[in-house]
Parts: sequence; structure tokens; C-alpha cells
Amino acid sequence: MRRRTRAALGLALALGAPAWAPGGAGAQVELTGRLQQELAYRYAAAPALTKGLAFIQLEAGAPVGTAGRLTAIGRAWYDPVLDFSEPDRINPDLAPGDPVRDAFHGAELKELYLDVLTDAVDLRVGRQIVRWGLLEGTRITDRVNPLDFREFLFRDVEDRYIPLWMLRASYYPTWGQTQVLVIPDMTFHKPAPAGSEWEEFQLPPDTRKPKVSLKNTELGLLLGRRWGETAWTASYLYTWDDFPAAFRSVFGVAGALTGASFDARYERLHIFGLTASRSVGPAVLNFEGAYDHGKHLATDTGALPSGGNEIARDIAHWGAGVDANVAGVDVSVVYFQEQVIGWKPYIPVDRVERAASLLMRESYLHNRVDAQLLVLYFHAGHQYVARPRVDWRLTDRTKLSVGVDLLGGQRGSDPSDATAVRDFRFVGYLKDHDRATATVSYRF
Amino acid sequence: MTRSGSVRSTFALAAVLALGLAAPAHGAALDGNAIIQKSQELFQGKDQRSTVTLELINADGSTRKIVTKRLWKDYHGKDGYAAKTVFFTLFPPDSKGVGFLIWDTANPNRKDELWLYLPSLRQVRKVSVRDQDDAFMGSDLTFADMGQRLLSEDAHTLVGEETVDGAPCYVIEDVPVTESIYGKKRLWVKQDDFTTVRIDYYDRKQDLLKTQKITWIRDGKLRVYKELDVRNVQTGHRTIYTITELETDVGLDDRDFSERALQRGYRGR
Repeated sequence: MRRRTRAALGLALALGAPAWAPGGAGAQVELTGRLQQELAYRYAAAPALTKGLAFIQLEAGAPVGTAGRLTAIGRAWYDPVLDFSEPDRINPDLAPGDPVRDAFHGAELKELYLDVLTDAVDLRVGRQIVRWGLLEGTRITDRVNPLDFREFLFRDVEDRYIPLWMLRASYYPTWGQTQVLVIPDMTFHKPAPAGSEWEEFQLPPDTRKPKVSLKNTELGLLLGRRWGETAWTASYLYTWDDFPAAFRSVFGVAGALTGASFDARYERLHIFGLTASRSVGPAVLNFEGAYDHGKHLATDTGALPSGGNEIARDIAHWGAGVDANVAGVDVSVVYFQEQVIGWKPYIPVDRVERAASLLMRESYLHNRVDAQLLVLYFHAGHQYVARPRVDWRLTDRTKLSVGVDLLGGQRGSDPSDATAVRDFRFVGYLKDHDRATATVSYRF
Repeated sequence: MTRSGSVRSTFALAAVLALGLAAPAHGAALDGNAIIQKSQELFQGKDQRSTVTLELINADGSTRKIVTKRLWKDYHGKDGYAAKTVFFTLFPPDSKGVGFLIWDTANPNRKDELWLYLPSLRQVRKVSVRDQDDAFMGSDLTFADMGQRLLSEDAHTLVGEETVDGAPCYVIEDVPVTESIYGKKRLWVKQDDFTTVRIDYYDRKQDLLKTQKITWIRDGKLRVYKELDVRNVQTGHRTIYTITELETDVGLDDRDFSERALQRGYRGR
């Protein structure tokens, strides 16, 4: 959908909704929001204050008729640390002449949607986030919305997931649930801005994006049902791979590599998913699996008889997790892996990638204080992320959070090194970015 | 706040009644068992909709408030459930929209089922059953306190009679027979309608741990909590639960106690 059309639609809905509401314009608009100040200090290599983000977020909701509700969420932000700091202080890996496109201020409409709720059907149309799946953070079936890698994996869902313009229709027959998604929005994963602290990769400049059209629309279908004590879902997502496939031509003279050209484009992907959840005693067991058909992977130069540099392969993902409460501590353990079906040695990704996560959380002082520890471990390169954090509710409206983000493992190759893609480590490359964080938020 | 039991009273009471063990007639000599049984048989309506406010007061006087909308329905064992409850948090702002759904099973060998909706995650998640000794919403009552133990889990002894706020009460001492975090409890049960108006909880060293005063909404044969005032005498912390805007028999059904309802949030149903 064109930006101007989206903006016009959003403005029309926002201006028109109060007039539709019983009682006249603005009579029942509910306005809430928060003020938030975030600080981050990198204390590993090249210590520096790297974030001073301040923002105000507003959420407005208004009834529309008797069955509808319009919701709009917007944010304006400014980061004085990015404004006043030299780029190479924020990102010590910057070389002279490297581009820097990291903005220090902005405003955005994050979500804007209309809910129409009836007895049998719930409709939501507009810019929204849809979550599927059971195993938090694994992105096995939960791949409706692309991700914003601005701050690596460290933002909350509302910031890490990029809302999309879509229609979500949920139908609830007596036997279970059906959900249909229609997504005309051609938005994909967003790398961290060039020159920013968390930059790892950039899209080739001429990446071909599919145009908004009926033919290019993404579709999703989810069916859910409870059999006995097990809740099942089966899903199908006809989508675009959020990572572009890069058809790379490498050329040179007399065997000497002199350059490469990329023809980056997005490819269609079929994702078949399955989840199951069941209580066993006091614990909850979760299983999630997905099968990707149509994934395009890069290959080593000259490996293919055709001379090309990419190949289509299917990928199977699965994960299992246990949630339990142990001596008052909420504990969640997940193991997940993905496997390239028909892997060949000239495909520079691991045939099988394995990972695990541990989340522990406990409350103290009558829920005034929450302590949490999240650990992610990736077998390849022994990479890990550890995030201990403490949240303290100072008042009913004010909260202080302090924590540490630790990254480790093999650093691997530079992501811009096209000849060493095989050794790139998504987490390990950022191992020198350990930081302490503090956030104060006030909600109204 | 209803004392809807999980594992508990509905199943046990049904068994007792089926065996034809009638409680002694009112006015005749009652023992501890009979009094506690009658106190668990109070009529709470077929379903309820109310606003529950928890005020958590520290020893230094600082307070926090939690306001929730609560829906409850008595299932009488239908589909294997004793009752279902859903809470929608209205205040504080950082918890607004959080929903908590509980399906209390009628089968003592089966655990309750719980789901949580967090607006920040945009998802309903099934969660593990809480340790029954965990504090309910950070208050001075535990999940176990909010429910009902089976009659057989404690030895109930009538130890005397006292007057509380002008009303004659039986004084019952409950000593746990099965696992409990308490060494004993002392209950004051009104003689005229068998509502419990005060409970003293003792820890395993037999030291007084907390006291609870209960006021009731009485409407015909309906008996529902109006206010619970719980003071932890060892820490100085205090919790006041207040139930307001109570409506009973409003016609709640399965749709109100579903994951879909959690995600939709409270919309005046």
C-alpha cells in the first residue's frame, strides 16, 4: 500500500472515529501513554555511553459504533547521546568514510487498527502485530511480522516486531478457532542503521522489493483446536522470505577476484506450522514445528554447474519447551533447532543449527520487585546472550529497570566479507558490546 | 472474593451429600467439622461480575493499588470443572490489559489450568500452576488461602464461643492433617449464618503470622465477600481486598472464560 494512501486512511480513521462514537466527537476517546528514558553504557571494548533515548508514546482508543474500537499508537523520540556523540564513539568498528545513517530523533505511527468484534468473528484491520507460536523468541511459526534489528534482539515486542498493514479475521466455531491473515504490506526485516552500534549487515542497495499488488499479497491461515487436554494449532503462511536472496556474480581477471555484483531480491516462502501445548502436572509442555518450502540460500562461488550462487532448499524447524514454577520461581526452558534439507557442503550455513534458552523470573516485596534472567545459547560458535534484569515499581505509575546485556562466543568473520560468510556469527560478532542499561518509565 | 475451590469443596461436598450424611440441624450441638462444612456451603450465586480492588500497604505506610474486573462462574463439575475465573487488570497502568484465566478442576487428581494474556507480548500464554503457597497478586494471602482446602485436610475442633462485632461466633481451631505452610488456623464463624468473619493464621512454630477480618455481602441467601482485611503481624504488611459493583447471575457462559476473551479484554460483558 502506498505511503500516501496509508497515511490518508489512517488520518481518515483517526479523524472520523470520534464522530462515529456514540455521544459525539471525542466523547469516549481514551488516551493513555508513557514517558520513558533509556540509558545504556557499553563497558567492554571502547567504553562509552551509547544510548540516551527519551520518548513519549501515546495510545488512543475510541469505540466505533457498538461493536468496534479504533486504536492508534504513536511515538516521538529523541536521543541526545546519538545527537552529541561522534559516530565512532557509538560504533568503534566504523572505518573512515563508512556511511552513517543513524537518526537521533523521529516520530512514527506504530499501530493503527480497527477492531470489529461480533459473537462469532473478531476482525482487526490496520497496522498491527500478529503473534503465532508458543516458544517465545524462536521464530519457528511466529513469522508474520518482520523484525527491526535496530537494537539487535534487545527491544520489546512492540519495537522489535514491525507492524504490518493487514486484515486479521478470527472465527470461533464450536470446534475451535480459525484465523485468516491478508497482508498486502511489503515490509521486510530492517537491519540496524548504517554506522549504528548494532550494525551487522545492510541490504544491497538495489534490492528488488515486490510491489504492492493482489498477486504479491501474503496470506496466512491458522486452525486451532483442543483435543482432550492438548491444544493444537496448524498453520500455513504464504509469505515473502524476510531476508532477501542475493544472487551474487563474482568476477575477476586471471583468477584474481576483482569484484562482485548482487541481484538481491525477495523470494516467496511457504511455511507449514504446527504447535501443541499441554499441562503435565503443574508444568506446561510446548512443542512447535515448521517446514519452510522455497528458501533460497547462497552457495560458494563456482560450486554450482550453472555458475549461479544460490540454491533453493527446504528447512525444517522444531522446538520443545517446559514452563514450570519451581520453589516460587517461574522457569521456562526451550530447546530448538533448524535443519537444511538436502544440505550440501557448498552451502555456507550449518546443516543443523541448535540453540537453547532459559528464562527465570521471580517477584519480591509483594510484587514491587521483579528479577529476571534470560540466557540464550547457540551451539554454533558457542555463542550466548545473557540478560539479567531487575524491575522496581517505585509507584503505581513509575518503574525503574536496571540490567546487563552480555554477549559472547566466537566472533567469526566480518559480515561484509563475502568470502567468509560461512564463519559469520550473528551474536559473537557483537561480543564486545556488553553493556549496562537503565530505564525509567512513567505511565499515564 | 469468592472462595471458589479447586480440587476441593464442590467435589467433597457432593460426595458427602451423596452418602446421605446430613449435617446436624441448626440449633442442635455442632462439632467443628459440621461448622466448617456449613461455612463452605454458602450460596455464592451461579456467576458473578465484580470489581476487585487490592490495596497493598507496607509497614511504612506506602501503598500500591491493583484494580481488576473479575468474572466467576460455578460449573458444579460440568466438563470436569468446579469453577472458572477471569481477571482483567484495569490499574496500575503498566499492568492494564493483563488478563488471567483460571479453570478450577473438580478432579482432585488433576491440576488447575491457567492462562495469562500480556499486552506487551500480544499473546495469550498457558502458564504453569502456581505454587499454592505463593502470594496471590503480591498480597498477604496465598493462592491456597484464596481457595478451599478439602474438609478432610484439616482436623476441625470447636474450642469455644466468642462475640465478634456484637455477633455470637463459634471458634474453630484447624490443624492441618496434610501438607500446609501453617501450623494451625483459628476461625470465627457466625452462628446465625455460618459466615467466617475472622481467621488467625499461625506459622509452623505456632507463632501468630497474620490475621484476616472478613465482611460479607448478604442478599437473601447470597453470601459473598465484601471486604477482606489481612494483616501480617510479623512483617507489618497489610492487604485490603474490596469487592464492589457486584452483580450475580448475569448469564456468563463459556465464551467469557476462554483465551479469546482474554485477548479481547474486558469490554463490559
